Amino acid sequence: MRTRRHIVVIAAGIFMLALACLADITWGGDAGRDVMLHLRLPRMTTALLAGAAMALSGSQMQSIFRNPLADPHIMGISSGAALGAALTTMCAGVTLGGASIALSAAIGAAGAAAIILYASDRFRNASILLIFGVMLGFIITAIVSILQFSSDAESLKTFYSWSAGSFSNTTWGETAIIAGTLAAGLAIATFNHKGLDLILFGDEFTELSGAVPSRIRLSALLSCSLMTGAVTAFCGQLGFVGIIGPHIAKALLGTSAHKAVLPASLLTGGLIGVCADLLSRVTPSPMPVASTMALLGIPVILYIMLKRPEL
Amino acid sequence: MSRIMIHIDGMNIGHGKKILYEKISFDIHAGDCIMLCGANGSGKTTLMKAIAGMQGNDCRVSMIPSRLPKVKGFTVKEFVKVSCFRQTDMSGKLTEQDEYNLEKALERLGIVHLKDRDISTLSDGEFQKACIAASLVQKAGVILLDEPTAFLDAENKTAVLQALSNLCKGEDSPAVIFSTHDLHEGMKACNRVIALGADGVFRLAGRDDIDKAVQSIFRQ
Repeated sequence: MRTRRHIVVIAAGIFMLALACLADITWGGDAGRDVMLHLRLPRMTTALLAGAAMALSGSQMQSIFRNPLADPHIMGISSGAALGAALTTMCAGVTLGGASIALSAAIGAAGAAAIILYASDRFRNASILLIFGVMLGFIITAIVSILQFSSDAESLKTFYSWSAGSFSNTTWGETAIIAGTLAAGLAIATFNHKGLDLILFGDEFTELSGAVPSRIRLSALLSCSLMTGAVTAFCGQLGFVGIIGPHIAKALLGTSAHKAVLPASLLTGGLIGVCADLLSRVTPSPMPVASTMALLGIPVILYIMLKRPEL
Repeated sequence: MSRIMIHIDGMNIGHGKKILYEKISFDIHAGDCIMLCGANGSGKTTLMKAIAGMQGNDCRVSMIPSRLPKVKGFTVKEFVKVSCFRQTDMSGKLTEQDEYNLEKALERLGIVHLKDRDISTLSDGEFQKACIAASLVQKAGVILLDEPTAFLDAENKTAVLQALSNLCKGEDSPAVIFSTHDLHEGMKACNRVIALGADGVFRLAGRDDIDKAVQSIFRQ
């Protein structure tokens, strides 16, 4: 029964994703081969991969913190990534290659993740941890703003594109880096899927069942930091898709088992990414992707909050 | 005499440097249904965790913590597989033999009709039974349950305790230790009692002096 439902849902998802991708690259009328190959296609691919990576990160974080509203953006990990990327850009200039920016962003993300991990030990209450994450994000963003003030005009442009979020201006090389980290993040998450299921039932039960909670959390956060780092370095801080992607996947599949949720989150996250990109382009004047993500995501999040009054 | 599942010899129970009960020794036999009682903070959970960390005689020891959340999105069968973390393969599947054992365990606890139900829709009593089934699939010879009757209504309390008592009667039965504050109902289900007394004394009683042991947990 459930298997058949999964097949139908996933087939429908792939079909919708294909439609959205097609719409995204054809919107704006005919374009020459160059525009297609160097602007529209990489942009669409980036939107797809970035959305998928954020949703995959979100589904892991929701499990390890047992909080349906957790994702890298709201818990300050994206801010950490932005700080890492900003510091490198400041120190080494914008000439630096994409890979090193992504790496420093991943290190920044891991730093923020480490703080969250430490805090999660102190704040047993899921809501308080969430507030702590939001605060952490604010503080790190403030530091990034201070860096902005003391930077030259060229870096300032890069900084702005981070805070606003954008899928444009990515090269195939950068898209490949996002794809690479997504593959690595997915591999770690897949390896960890049994642990991600188990830890939902609490640390005590996890230990009693023969698994190590800290190892499950570390693997998940490593996967999240890698992916969030690359996405933030090239697209800026993407919010909300990490929260709603996994929720839509779970609601459609009717299961929380990560064997199904992880791949389905890739699909929903990718779909949301492409839709947000499309939405940012259909408006008369182009909108920043962070705003369209918020437009798509926040109603869903409010719905989740209303349905889960214990939060 | 039935098979000894665990032999406890001179164990100290406590947390950190504070020792609550010194040099406890006793045996747990197959088919034992032991009620563990004592005031809050008397060390019931600590004692259970200590036993959970032990190696049984050719058998596993499994513990079901209190107030396990009924996470939405797992069927009873999926939940059992999740809790059999060490037994499932990389993709989370059980062997055919274990699948068979799972079916048998659900039958034994009378919840086979619930196997494809989402655990969030179960009553607390039914969920406790699913947890016990999971322990059976893990081939646990000793099953420890931390307050399985807490927050249950009267009907579910009786159902869970009855299930525990039945579990210990059958052939090839495990030993069960459950902690509870429902002394009256618990006493009917058990055949032995461990009482962590208000006087700080560890007491283990058989059928005949259960009453006296239970009395010791109250301050006189």
